[in-house]
Amino acid sequence: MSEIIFEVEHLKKYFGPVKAVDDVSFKIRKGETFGLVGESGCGKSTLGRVILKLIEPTEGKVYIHTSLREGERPRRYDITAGERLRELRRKMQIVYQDPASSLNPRMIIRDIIGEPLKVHKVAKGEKLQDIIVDLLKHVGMQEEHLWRYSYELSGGQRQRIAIARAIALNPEFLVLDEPTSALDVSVQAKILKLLKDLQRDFNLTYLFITHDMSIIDYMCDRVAVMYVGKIVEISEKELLFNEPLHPYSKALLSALPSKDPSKRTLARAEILSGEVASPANPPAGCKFHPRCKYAFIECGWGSDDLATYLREYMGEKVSLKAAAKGSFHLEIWPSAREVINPINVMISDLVAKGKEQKKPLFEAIDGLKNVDGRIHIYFMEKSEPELVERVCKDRYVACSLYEALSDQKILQKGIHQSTKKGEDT
Amino acid sequence: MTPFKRYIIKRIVYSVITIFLIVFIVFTISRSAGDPVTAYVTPDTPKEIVEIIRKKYHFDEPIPIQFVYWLDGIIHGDWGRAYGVGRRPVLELIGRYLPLTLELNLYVLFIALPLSYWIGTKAATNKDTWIDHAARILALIGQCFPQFFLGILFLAFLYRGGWMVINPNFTFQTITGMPTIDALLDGDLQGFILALKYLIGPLIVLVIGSLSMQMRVLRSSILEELSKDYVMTGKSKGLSKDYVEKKYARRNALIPFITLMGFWVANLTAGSAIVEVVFNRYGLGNVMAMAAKATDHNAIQAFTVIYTVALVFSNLVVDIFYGFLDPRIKYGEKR
Amino acid sequence: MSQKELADKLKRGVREHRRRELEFLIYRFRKSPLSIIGLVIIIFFIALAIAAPLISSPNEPDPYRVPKTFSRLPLPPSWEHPFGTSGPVNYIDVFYGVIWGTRLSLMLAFTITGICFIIGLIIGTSSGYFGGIFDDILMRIVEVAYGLPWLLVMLFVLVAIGQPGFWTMVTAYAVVGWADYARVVRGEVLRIKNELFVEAAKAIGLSNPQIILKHIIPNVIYSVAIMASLKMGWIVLTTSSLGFLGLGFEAGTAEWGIIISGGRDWILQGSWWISVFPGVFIFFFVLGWQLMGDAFRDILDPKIRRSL
Repeated sequence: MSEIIFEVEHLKKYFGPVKAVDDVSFKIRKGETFGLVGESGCGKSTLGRVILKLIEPTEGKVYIHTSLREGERPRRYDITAGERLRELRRKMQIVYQDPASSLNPRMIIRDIIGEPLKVHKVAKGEKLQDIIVDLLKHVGMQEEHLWRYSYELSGGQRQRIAIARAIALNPEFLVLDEPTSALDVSVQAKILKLLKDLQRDFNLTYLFITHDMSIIDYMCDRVAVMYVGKIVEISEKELLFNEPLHPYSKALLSALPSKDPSKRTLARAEILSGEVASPANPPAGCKFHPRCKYAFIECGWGSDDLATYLREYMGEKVSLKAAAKGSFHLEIWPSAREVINPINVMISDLVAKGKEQKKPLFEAIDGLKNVDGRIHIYFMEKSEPELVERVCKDRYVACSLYEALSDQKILQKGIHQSTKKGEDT
Repeated sequence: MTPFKRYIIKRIVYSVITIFLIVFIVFTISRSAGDPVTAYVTPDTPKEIVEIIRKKYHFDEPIPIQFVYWLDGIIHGDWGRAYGVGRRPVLELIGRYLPLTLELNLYVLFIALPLSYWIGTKAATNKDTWIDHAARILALIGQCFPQFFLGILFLAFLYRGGWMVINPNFTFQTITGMPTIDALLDGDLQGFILALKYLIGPLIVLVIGSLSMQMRVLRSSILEELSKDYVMTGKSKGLSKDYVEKKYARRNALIPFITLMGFWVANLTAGSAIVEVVFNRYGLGNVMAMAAKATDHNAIQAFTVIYTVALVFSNLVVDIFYGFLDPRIKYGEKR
Repeated sequence: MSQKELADKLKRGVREHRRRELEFLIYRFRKSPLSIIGLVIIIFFIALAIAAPLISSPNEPDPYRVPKTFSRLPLPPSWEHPFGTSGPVNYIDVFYGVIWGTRLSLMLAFTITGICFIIGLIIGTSSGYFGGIFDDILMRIVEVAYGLPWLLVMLFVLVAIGQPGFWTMVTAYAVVGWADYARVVRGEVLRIKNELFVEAAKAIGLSNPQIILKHIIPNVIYSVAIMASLKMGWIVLTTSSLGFLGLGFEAGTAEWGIIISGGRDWILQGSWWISVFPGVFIFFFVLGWQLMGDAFRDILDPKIRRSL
């Protein structure tokens, strides 16, 4: 295993009640392209910016392993602590999704690219221009573009400039936040190729954020799948594409047209029911379970699920009111006109039938009580599945369907740790 | 409580605080700069008497205490004396001269607003026609000429022709203090005409000034609205040009216009003072200018308070109206 | 390519760039004749102000006090007195008054605008960029300042200070004038602050002061410059109004409003030159700056530039 260059530990970013990034941890290896994929709004952009401390994290730690001086051995630096941040910034840069607003409209290209070099006093005067022209050529632009304003260039060209600016200081680590999403498809391919070439030429490590699985396929070595602020799976790309573990990953991948025409059928596509969970009010237990076709008893069924169920299946027949008293305790009572006893019987029947049919929602019901004419339903309290290694080494999944590797080797926890090679600390 | 009510209450509370703050600041500066005793004495007054007067009006006390005494006086109707403008109690001056200013401003309000709205919309909807150009040029001229200068020009022309009077002798009864209204109330037609002639000079100048400012803003904001996508969508749906304009564009365009109102009222207080001097109209502005020239602290302080209160109040009205128009405020923005 | 060749090529690039900028500027001006008119007017006034001592020999010790020119009645324009004389009550040569009045007005306008601009910029930027309680308090103050009847406040300040004069006027304006600038600056700063390139600057490693100076202020300054230009005219309008009322400057100062007030009664008797000449000057001064402001707005907005 190669060395770790970037570490994220239990990172959280909350905007009030909205948990944009909810306890995220992962490690990125030197030289790889680490993909981060998810739907819009899952928090991946926020994550990209928080790890560079461009947005203040609510909690958690981010480390970079690098050497700040020539010839020094690489050390681990705490980005979140903010010490030596300015120097550290030379090592880590970002390319944004929207090239139009990430470049100052009143600056000419020469100054845009030259700015990082000037700020860190890398060069001045003619030598500076020398370097800038060099950078321009590396991203496939010409010298005459030095004098243009960003609004005079096309989207693809602007993004090249943004890339040139990002590599100007010779960083080791680059966050690419959907760098091609705002571009025309024909241009996307060129930019992606450019990024690959640059990675090879300059020995860069990438965190590549996107919502497009085909780009992941082209660019990335390992992939993290994100859903509503949490990472649900981390795998090597090939493994993920061939055998996605997390149900959400499966759904995402099923939407990709297969390379083999004979395998392309609409039936393959798993169309997820329901809507993406709200980051301000996510489901209890596993956040994905309401939409998951594989969900079972362990997934954290609770009040919200039952309330939704009642609303969908019972709504017209009878008037009920329900209130969630906590994630795993639902209180039901009839609205004014209904009589208590029939309700009581009806709910009990419903639960019994559900259990009989082995519907996980009802299997997870622990108890049913009648108190003062109100029915209280108690669920088994399940916590969110942790992102740990399951099924095999180096594959992390946050899903209770799979047994955690560490559970299997309870005694070997110490050995388990030491077999992870290549962690330079 | 609806979000709108909350908004109104917030604005009212805020206005009250503002008025209080302004009054206090004005008071502090007024009592600190120079010696307030001079309002009540002459250079020959013997020292002991000066000291007695000083004690009587509490000028030797710290400012906050003076403020309390002053407030007390205000509530009981004692606003001090104006020494520059004839040594009369300030309150009496206000009572006598304020109605004339009020009358003038009310006429301006009722004429200029609808007129500028009408011209502004006409100009915007007939963009680049001669109407538009004429309106814009007139607005430009109106804004670039100082009001007192326009006043002088009008004075020169209209006075000769007898269209204007500057020293009227009113014979009707004074009820409200506003000549045109009093004349009507008294049934004095001659007096009414006279009152109008007294009014017309300042009125024309102020209306021109107001029109220039308002029409320009209205026109540009309507134009901006008309260029927005939703208007085109409306038209593509087959709604007639007029309907789209009337219902949607105008309403939205009103918002910057309303925003202007606050500024416009401030301008009006200044403007009316100036035209009153030019046309010899005995309104509060005129008196205020005289007081300023004579560095009459008491009077200026009182006038500042009155005008500021009026302005804050009108801003409040504008804000409420604005909140009514803008649904984001009316229904409260969800955070 | 050798070092020297590269250096030459780059120098040429710089020249080329400057040439393009200039061309664009000229193009914008040509497209809008009104802006040319505005520019011409302003240049005329500035030239006049600078050349004042040459055109009309200055009065010692204070050139801004118009020397007395006695004439029992106002005299119409003549070779000796190009704009005529005013007769009682001021007894001035109108030409002198108007020329030196130009100089005074420009000096006043530039000084006031400069001060309000700087104050407004500092306050607006701090308020917008750093936010927090500071911003809240500041904005309350600005709202109050904005809602005041400006003439009143100025009168009040003038009375409070007591002595008329140049710096008294400047102070009175500064008290009310900065609020508008602060408001506009703050609005722009808030808008710019959220642009991605500001965060990008942070990513590169710029410190807060650097970001403010290099990215925020240059983008903010243009709208403010437009407002400043429009306000130049407003300053003169207000100053002359005050002068007309006899406030602000001492009687006998070369100020357009004071001269006009001296001619108020005479105009009814047919001696128009006393009031009309300064009045016309005021008109063109305000017009010039108004047009310039509009021209600035068209030229300096990069979004409009894109259509080039």
